[in-house]
Formats: sequence, C-alpha cells, structure tokens
Amino acid sequence: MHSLILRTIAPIVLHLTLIFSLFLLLYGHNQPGGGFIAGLMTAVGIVLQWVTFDANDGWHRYNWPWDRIFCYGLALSTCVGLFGLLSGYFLKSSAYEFVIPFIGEIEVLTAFFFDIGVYAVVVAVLMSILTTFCDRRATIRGGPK
Amino acid sequence: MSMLLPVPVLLPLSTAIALLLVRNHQKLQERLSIVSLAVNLAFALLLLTATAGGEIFIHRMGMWPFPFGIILAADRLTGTMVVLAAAIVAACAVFAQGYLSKNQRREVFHPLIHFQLMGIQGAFMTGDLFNLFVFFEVMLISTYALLAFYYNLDQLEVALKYTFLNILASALFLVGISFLYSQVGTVNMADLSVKIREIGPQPLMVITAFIFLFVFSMKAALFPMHLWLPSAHSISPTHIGAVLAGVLVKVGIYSIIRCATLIFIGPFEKLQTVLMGIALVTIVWGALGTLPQRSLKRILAYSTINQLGYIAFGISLLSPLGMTAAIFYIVSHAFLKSSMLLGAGLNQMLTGTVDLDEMGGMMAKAPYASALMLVGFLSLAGIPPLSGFFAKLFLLQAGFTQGAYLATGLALLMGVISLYYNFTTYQRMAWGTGGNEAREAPAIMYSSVTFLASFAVIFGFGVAWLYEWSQLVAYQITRPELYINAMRNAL
Repeated sequence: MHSLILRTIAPIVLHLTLIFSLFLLLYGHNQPGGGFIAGLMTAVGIVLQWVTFDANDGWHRYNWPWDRIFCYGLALSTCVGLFGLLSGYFLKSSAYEFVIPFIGEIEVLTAFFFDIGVYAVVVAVLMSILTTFCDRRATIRGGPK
Repeated sequence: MSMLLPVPVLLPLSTAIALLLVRNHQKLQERLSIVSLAVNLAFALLLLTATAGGEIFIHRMGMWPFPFGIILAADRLTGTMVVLAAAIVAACAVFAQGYLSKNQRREVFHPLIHFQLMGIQGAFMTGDLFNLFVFFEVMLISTYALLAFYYNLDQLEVALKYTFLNILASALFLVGISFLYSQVGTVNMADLSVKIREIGPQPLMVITAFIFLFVFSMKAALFPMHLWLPSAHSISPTHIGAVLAGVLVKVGIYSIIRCATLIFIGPFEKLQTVLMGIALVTIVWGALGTLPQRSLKRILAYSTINQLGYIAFGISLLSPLGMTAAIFYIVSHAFLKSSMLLGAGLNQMLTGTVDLDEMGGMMAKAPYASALMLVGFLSLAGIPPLSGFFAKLFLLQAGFTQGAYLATGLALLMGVISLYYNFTTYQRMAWGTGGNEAREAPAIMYSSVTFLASFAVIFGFGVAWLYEWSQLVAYQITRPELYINAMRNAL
C-alpha cells in the first residue's frame, strides 16, 4: 500500500505492539492478559507490517512453517498440563522461585509455559490462515471444481 | 480412577499433535492413529466398568475448588457415551483405511478425527456448562473441515451450511450461558442445578432453558433445525457421515438429557409439551422424508432424523422409564446407524453409486454386504429379535404407562411408515436385476461394518443385559443429588 502515513507509522507501531504483546504474555497468568491476547496482538503487528510493505506480492515472506509452530505450541501446552498431572491434577500450575544474580528473586509458574504454548498456537493459526488465503497458487492450480 | 479422568480428552489431543508432527510418514501416522484409537477404546471400557458400581468420579482440573474450577465428571451415562464414541470412531477410522485411496489426503484425516474425538469425549466428560461450549467448538471445528474433505463444490456447500447454522447455534449457546450466569452466577452444572432449584421455574429461567434446548436440538437435528443433516450425511465421505450419525448427534441428545435431568429440572417440566411436540414433529418429518428419496444415504439420513425424534420423545417423558427407553434407544441406534452408513459406503464402493435404482440386485452381486444391510434394515424397521425392536417397544411401553396415549399412538403409527420405507429400500437395493457390476472392496471395510452391525444382534439377544444397564443409568441420572453430592465432596 503506497501510503506515506502508513509507511512512516507502521515500523513504530510494530515495535510498540510487539513489546506490548510480550508484556501481556509475561504478565498474563495472574493478571489480565495471557498467551491468547498476546498472540492476537503479535499477529496484528505482523499483519500491519505485511499490509504496509508487502500487500501485493509479498505473502511468501510471511510463509514460515506455521503448521510446525502450531504443533509445537500445542505440544508444549499439553506437556505443561501433563506435568500438572504428576501432582494429581491435570493443568495444575506450580510455582518455582529462582534467585538470579543482579536481578533478584523471580517466580516462575508452569502456567507461564502453558501461556507460551497458547501464544505460539494463536500466532501460528492466524498467520497460517492468512498466508493460505493469500496463496494465489491455489486458484492457479484450479481450486475447487 | 479420578486421576485418570482426563485421559479421554488428553489421549486424542496428544495423538493428534503427534500425528501432525509425523504427517510426512504416512504408514507410521496410520499405525499410530489406529493404536491410539484402540487404547482409547480400552480406556473407555475401563471407565465403563469403573462407573458401573454407581460411583461418580470427579477430576478437578488445576486443583481449583468446587464450584469455580473446571471439573471433569464421569457417571454411568458418561461411561456409556464415551464407549459409544470410542467404538464408533475407531470403527470408522478403520473403515477409512479401506475407503480412502492412497493419495486422498489421509494425512489430514487422521489428526482431524482425533481432534473431533477429543471434542466429543470432552463434551461427555465435562461438568461445566461453559466447558461444554468449548468442547462443542473443538468438535465442530474439526467437523467443518472433515465435511469438506474432498474440496469439491457439493461438499463445500454442505460444510458451509453446517458451519453457518452451527455458528448461529454457538452464538446462541454463548448468549444462553451469559443469560444464565447473570441470573445465578455460576456455570458449574451441579451448582447450577442447586441454584436453579432454589429460584424455581420463573419465566426468565424457562426462556433460558428454551435457548439451551434450541441450541442442543440443532446439534441433535431435531425438528426446526434438522435441515443440515440429510445433505451432510449423503454428501460427506461415508466414514465421516457415520461418525456424524452415530456420535455427533448423540452429543446434542446427551446435552438435552443433562439439561432435563440435572441443570434445568424445573424449567424442563414447563417445557415438556414443547419438547414432546418437537420430538413428534421430528418423528413424522423424518419418516415422511424418506419416502421420495432415491439415494440410499439420504434415506438413512432421514431415518436418523426419525429415530432422533423417538429418542427425544423418550426424554420428553421426563421419567425414569422414559429415560431408560431413551438410553436403550441411544445405544442401539448409535451402533445401528453408523453400521448402516458404513454399509452404504461399502455398497457405494462396490457399485460406484448410492442411487437405489442403479444399485439393484445387490443380493446376487455382493451377498455378504447386502446381508449386513439387511440386519440393519430389519433392526431399524423394528423386527424382533433385533435391538431396534426392543428400543421401540420400551419407548412405547414408557409412553403408554405414563398415559401419553395420543403422542405414543402417533409414534407407533410412524413406526408403520418406518417398516414400509425400510422394506422397500432394501427391496430396491437388493432384489431385482440390472444396475452396475459389483467391484471389489477391501476386507477391512467388511470387518468394521460387521463389528458395528453385530451389536444389533448382540443387543437383540442380550436385551435383558442392556435394559438392565439402561435402568441403572436412568436410576443415576434421575437422582441429581447423587451427582451434586459427588461434586461437592470431590477432593
């Protein structure tokens, strides 16, 4: 899209959305936010970039192996759920505290890894839907008869 | 056992992920899929034997306390339904091994059917209304993809129709849940049951119950919302149609049972006439709809609508006797109809058509396949000693015992039409001459149809056993306090 305004704004907005989505992802498991909304936000950032700079023919630049990422994300979330089953309850979240030099004490919940899995699934599903829609080869191949 | 309750959800989920990861190795993927389905069936049987004693198992996911957390619960009804789903989906997946040729996108079929199974079994296990919605969506989204399996225009049309109707129903489901939540402030089924009883059947609660009835009758293909079913059955690939007829519609029926016996006991008593009316119209519509059809699969589809009407009629009696009959009907019909749809697929494979007139003379051309269909048609028509006869018998018995003479009389009258269409269909298919030459079909297809069809005979001769089991299930579900106490006291 040849819009000067969009071209100027998009890179800034991309960074803002990515940082904010990261914030939501890290913040999410006990506060508003989480993997789902963070994933949506990341995908929106990527799509804005795509619309601005590669609207005509650039879909293949975003054609990463989304289906693999989707699988791994789902697998990660399931594994975290199974990890909870070790203590008797599926999806049970457990907290671990670490002391990292110079940073201090941080608490890691297994729910966080669950969120990362969800994040990966959401981004991958949205992006794979969009890249599939943009894949004009499907129409060239003949498509549905 | 309580700790193992997530298995019917987790096993299909992890299998589906594994299958997606190995999708380039077709042999490995197929073996993994079939093995997982077998393990799932074994676990379902284990669950059935565990619930047989009357204990209700509860698993609190994430260790959240009642009534806030998401709860999985298994009583006898759940055990029965999970076994149905596991057995039928396994048989259909085995059938698909013969039905799909080598390059027909098998690598997509197997993961999808596991996601679908996860949704189905999750819907049966969950003790939480919102989670029921979530599992419905898991099940439906994979069904949308499965319905459009070959990408051709007919299937896309059917899949779109199914998708639009179900999106409408899902939206209504969500509206219903928020309605309910604004009134009672909980979504846990046991908690809902207690609170709704306290409030009593006010008009607003009856309307909420009606919304749920409408949503679930969409899934169960009851009267005003049955329109998607005939084309979905006849145009989708056979093994998917069989899962649809055998299991998916039963998820809707199961949800109606849970509403009527646990969640909305008071409001459903007010809605009894409505439910019975819907059931009767469905029976009549399904029976009459079979008459002008030429395609074997469409006849089976309308007959499914007809039979679902009978099941809903059993539920609408709202009594232990009616529930017993409905559960007997569900079990017998699930095996029967999926075996018949697979049988229709087998005949399609043999003759290359589902058109009855082109098929003609199957008895001479493929005696065994036609005999399998004969068992199904006789059972559907209600000829003793097959299971279909007893299913109808118990239902009519329950109806007459409760004094619903007019309604039961109408159901009985429609039984005559079902006798007629079953016989003429078989006659057109199996007798006579002409039609296409029969080809070969893989033995694996015969074996899965035989497996499912054998239950018509087993439940026919072992009717006492299944009836006793249905009574046990009905005993448990018509006493909601058992379920509520189990949830309250869960550790």
